[in-house]
Amino acid sequence: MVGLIGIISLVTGRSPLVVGLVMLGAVVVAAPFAVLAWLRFTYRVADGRLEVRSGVLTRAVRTIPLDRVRGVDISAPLLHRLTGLVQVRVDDAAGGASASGLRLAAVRRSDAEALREAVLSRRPAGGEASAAEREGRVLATVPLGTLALAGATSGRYLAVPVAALAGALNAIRDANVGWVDDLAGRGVDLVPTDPAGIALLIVAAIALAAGVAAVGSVIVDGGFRLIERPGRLVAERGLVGQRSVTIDRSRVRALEVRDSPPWRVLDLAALRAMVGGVPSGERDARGRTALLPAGPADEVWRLAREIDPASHAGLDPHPRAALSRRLVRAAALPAAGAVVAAVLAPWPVAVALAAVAVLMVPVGLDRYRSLGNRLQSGRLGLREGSLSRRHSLVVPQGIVAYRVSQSPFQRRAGLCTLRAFLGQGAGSRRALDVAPARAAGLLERLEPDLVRPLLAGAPRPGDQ
Amino acid sequence: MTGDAAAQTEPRLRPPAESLDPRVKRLWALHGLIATGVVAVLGIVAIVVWSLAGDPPAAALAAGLAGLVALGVAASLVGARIAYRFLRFEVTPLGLYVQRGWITRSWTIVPHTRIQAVETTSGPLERALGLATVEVRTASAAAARIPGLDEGRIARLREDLAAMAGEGEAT
Repeated sequence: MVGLIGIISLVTGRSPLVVGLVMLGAVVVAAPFAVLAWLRFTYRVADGRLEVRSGVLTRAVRTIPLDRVRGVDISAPLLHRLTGLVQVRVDDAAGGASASGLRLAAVRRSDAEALREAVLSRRPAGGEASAAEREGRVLATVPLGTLALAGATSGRYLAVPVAALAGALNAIRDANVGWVDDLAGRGVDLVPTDPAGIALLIVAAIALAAGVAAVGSVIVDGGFRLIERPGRLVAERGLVGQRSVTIDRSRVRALEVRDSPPWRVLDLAALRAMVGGVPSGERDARGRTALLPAGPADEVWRLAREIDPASHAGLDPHPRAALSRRLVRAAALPAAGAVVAAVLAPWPVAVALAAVAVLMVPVGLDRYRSLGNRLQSGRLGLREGSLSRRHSLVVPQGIVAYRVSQSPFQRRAGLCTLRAFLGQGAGSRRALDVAPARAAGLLERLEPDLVRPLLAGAPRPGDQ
Repeated sequence: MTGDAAAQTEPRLRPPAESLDPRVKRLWALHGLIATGVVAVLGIVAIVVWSLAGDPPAAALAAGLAGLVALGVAASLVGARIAYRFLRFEVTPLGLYVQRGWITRSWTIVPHTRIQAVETTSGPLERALGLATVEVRTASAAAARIPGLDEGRIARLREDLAAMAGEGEAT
């Protein structure tokens, strides 16, 4: 909002105060209509459809067939929480992650939850759900301490505070206020130039970043609960703006266990589900939903097995030839940069890049060791990555297309990559640098009737 | 295409049965030649402007440009033939199978039950040659694209795919 005021004032050349007052006026005028819109919202679930009538001046009737509903998302941003209202979004199968769906801007929480019950259980509203069904069974929670620790070691929440800080610095500089410039100048004088001082500064900066990340993690994921209800899972989280996401279990295409090197040391992991069509709107923009933002690795796997009993942790390693590829890809770029910098830039830059190249060698090694795949008990396990390691368990019924690809380097090394495309919004997962025989073998096991006629040696239709 | 040595380094998938319409070679060659032409024109303009403005080694530049253009022409013609040989497709009873690429190769398999839409597009050059590109869309980002098909083949492809998609589970 503040940014918007700033932009408008910049563009129109009027003072921000005037712009702010105008916007406030607009809000005051629009408010009664919004309230009336809320009062006038009625819904009906019947004949396999959800019908919502809303609006004051323009009455609108929106209809969504129930079997196209992928999820019902109830969220309560801060402003809504103050008034006891929630936002509802019913996501349907058409269109991309950002389009369509049915949105109710501000309704009572009890109405929203009744609507969700009605839609997801495909019963007309007004049916009596037992108290146990309504409550559901809590599968997992996360203590705040774990969230803080996980956040501090994840680096994930750094982007937002860093961006905010950069924005603030820019604004201060633009404000061009005399005393601020003086302060900045004195601040620059204070920065140490001796190695010990610089080292201390770096450590302090890292500690600050970790602290901010921990706080961010606690705010976003605090109070996390994973609740099991008939046919679906509900993930609730958030200390400030509480958010609840409902996942239709039959739409889960894959489970994913994630960790990173610091997390592995701390024995932490996260569990995510790749769901066809869960709405974007928060950071999980591509149909990935957190089932457990952080927890002990054992508990994460236990939870995965509870949600999907066919889950397994078995993996077969990839061919040795993949090792050199991982090493080269990890270290080559910084090494090349170091060589270039040695010629063109001051020597500390070259040294820094060379150090990065050396540090990337164990990363490359770890990336190779992380590679694995195995099709077992009806789940395709795929793992890759080091700094961000993901172990996916793909449900073969959720795969919509397959692609085997082979770059010239892979061809020389006798490797290829098998990629399984999941349903809309869920992305894809791959088996990276596998032997071609293994790729073909996996294809044959996943879709025997489809793939067998395509294997070498099988007769082509209309041949000879 | 799958000799003994290749059999060990490539997935043992046989090539799909059908090739594209041969006219697509002309189309791709034309694309390449047009791009080369644009570069040539830009280069000539640049050389002319530069000669008028200053004192450049005009002969060397002109030679360089001529070499570039020759390379472009050769690449367009040869590239079109190679790309044609390495883009093949097949409608099998259970799915669509497309092989594509010479330098980086890929084999794409889409089960019929997963196909959500079949889209046909054609640029002006394609239309002039009576060809179009078919894009088969699934619920994911993966679309299988088959360029260079004539209308008759496309109509038959649509019928076949529609018939085989049947009552599959939609995603």
